[in-house]
Amino acid sequence: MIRLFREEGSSLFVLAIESSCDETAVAIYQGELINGRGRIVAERVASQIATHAPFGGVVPEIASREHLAALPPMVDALLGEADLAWQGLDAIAVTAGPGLMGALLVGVSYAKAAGMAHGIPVIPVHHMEGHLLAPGITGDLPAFPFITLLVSGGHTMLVRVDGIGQYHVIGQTLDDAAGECFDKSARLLGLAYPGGPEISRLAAFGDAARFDLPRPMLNKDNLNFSFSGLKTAVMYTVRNAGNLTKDMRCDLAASIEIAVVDVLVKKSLCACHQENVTHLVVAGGVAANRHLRRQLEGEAAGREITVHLPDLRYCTDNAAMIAYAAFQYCWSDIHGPVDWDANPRWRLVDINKS
Amino acid sequence: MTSSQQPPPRNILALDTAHSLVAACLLTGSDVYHAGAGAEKPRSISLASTLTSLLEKAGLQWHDLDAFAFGCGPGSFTGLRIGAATLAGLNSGLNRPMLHISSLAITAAQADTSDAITVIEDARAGEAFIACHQAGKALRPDRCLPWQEVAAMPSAAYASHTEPAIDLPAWQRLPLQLSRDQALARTVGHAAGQITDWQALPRYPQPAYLQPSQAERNAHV
Amino acid sequence: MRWLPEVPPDRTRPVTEKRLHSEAETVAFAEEFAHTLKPGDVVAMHGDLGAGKSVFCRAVMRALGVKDEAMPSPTFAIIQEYEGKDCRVAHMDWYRLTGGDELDAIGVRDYMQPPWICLIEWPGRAPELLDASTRHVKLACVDDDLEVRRVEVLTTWPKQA
Repeated sequence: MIRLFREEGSSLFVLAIESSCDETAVAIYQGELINGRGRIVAERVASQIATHAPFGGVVPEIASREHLAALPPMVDALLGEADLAWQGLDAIAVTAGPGLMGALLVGVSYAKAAGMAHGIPVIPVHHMEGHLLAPGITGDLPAFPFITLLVSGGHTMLVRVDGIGQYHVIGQTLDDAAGECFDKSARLLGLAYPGGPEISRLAAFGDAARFDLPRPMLNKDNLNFSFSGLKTAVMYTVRNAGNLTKDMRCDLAASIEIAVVDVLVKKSLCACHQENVTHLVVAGGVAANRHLRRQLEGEAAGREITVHLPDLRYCTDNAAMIAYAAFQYCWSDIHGPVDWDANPRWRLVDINKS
Repeated sequence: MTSSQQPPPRNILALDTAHSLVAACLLTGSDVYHAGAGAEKPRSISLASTLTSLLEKAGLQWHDLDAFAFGCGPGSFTGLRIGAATLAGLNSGLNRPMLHISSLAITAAQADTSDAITVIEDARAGEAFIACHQAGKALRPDRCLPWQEVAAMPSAAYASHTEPAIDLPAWQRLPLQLSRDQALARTVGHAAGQITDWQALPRYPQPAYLQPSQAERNAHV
Repeated sequence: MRWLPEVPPDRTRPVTEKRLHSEAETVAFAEEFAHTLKPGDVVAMHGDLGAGKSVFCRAVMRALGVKDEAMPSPTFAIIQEYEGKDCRVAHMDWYRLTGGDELDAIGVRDYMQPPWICLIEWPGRAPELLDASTRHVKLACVDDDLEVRRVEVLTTWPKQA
């Protein structure tokens, strides 16, 4: 493991690699050992969204090929930009899961080999843990405990964060994720992939009151979500309409967006109330949704809840959050597993179990 | 830089993971060290340590390596990527030349014959990877063909890791005499001898998939 | 050689074909269907987006003894695993997959034998991985009523609608 020298002025350089889905991302974080804070020295992201768009979703084999082609030159360019040699790095952090197996294997195999060649420890990071801690990259993490609403194409969950490595899932989707609901609704509306941004774009011109879509689980006395029924309601609306006019598309998009956002906002605030927590972090790709950000901030203000929104670029997949999470492990002297490999179904509750 | 200024590499680390089995060897000019001839699956967890043990056997450090050789396929997509990502990681910072070796050429070398030999490996989706080699030389570029086209070819002696997906009457299947790591060492040794300008070789390993992914095929239907 | 009847049965004909008038009827049918499954069975689920494949799968899993409250969609993770009663259940979505090699990488074949019962949505992405023992369930909306579904249980791939 990494030897720590908690002297003034000493810092750790962490190189991070993220390749769990459709973004190849690398970053170098310089963390100060005196106070656990730091900064991103350099970062790069290669998005594959355009590559996958014609297929209506991320295609794992194509994603894996792109990761392999992109990653090694990206790391070289990143080190060049940061003016660092491998010898100047103290740790390599890599997303070990969850995600697409073939995609994860590219990052993990590369990281392990580079770590071995240069004698640098390699730290496996849980992709979701990166998202949970993302506000710390550019600012200060809220005081523990805080609640994170993690909402993306693959996940919708409410997590109580009690400390680094201490996460409790207090609510989750029982079926589809919120981002998946956007993607599938977009498919039903004949819109392009990814669906979230497309629906938001149309929603700006639409009348959200035109279609009364269900707010699943809103009145249930728990923190779970369900978006599968909303998708079915969209399908029924589309079938009933026959030929969708442009106006109807916009109105339906607005109705979908507000239905999803309503549920996310209400449940998140309810979670804070239930857990008696005053800080709420929103992370994941859907956290980039402007409507969600605005409504959350508006409703939280009256309840003395502070909403923490990571920079937009750190809402979607990135390596800065992986570097930051790994640095927090080093700084807190928490040791990760020794014997590990890429794990596409790594669960948040299994963090710190090797 | 020209080859006359640059001595040919002495220490070459070679890896092939195209067939779901790890084959690795280290050529040092005077000696050849082997590893992973067994049924070991290429997993990121074991691969790097397999290669480290090779270096230890030879008493070398990573920076003593002058070049890498990559069994670049065609073969299992995932296997190729684990091998490529591992070599890319090892070569990060070293920036050594990356010699690309056809994985079918290694199979041809396993048959250990001086006659021309066809290599046929199942490529799934109704296709086969096919190559033709003689004495370490490719007589034709590696290709990916539907099995029906393979069946329509004139019969010949062939080598393969798997049973062919179709009947190949009149074809003669030769046994694989050499282990894959032995064949890898022989193929790399032969290919290295043909290189005149090592500095012109790529630095990053690039798999030769020879097949688009299924989604790409569907998109073009 | 195995004895074959002179006139082979028409395997393309559905074993069962039924109109389901509500989600409750779909669930009831799925439960009934679940009782015919045993470890090692593979079920291929056919139908468009919103036809009710996931509703059907979740009902099958409940009937197989899966107790998890959350049964997240497998669209992103590709495979979700569950513990059933006397079996394990794998719920898969192959929508984003591109064929055999990739499926092998995630160990799909392991799920096609006991103790697993395997439910696959969008199986058409890698038909070569499914053998003749696969059960096929096709769900479709009907034109006259939004709530109604037509379900067919087949022993072969359904014809393209």
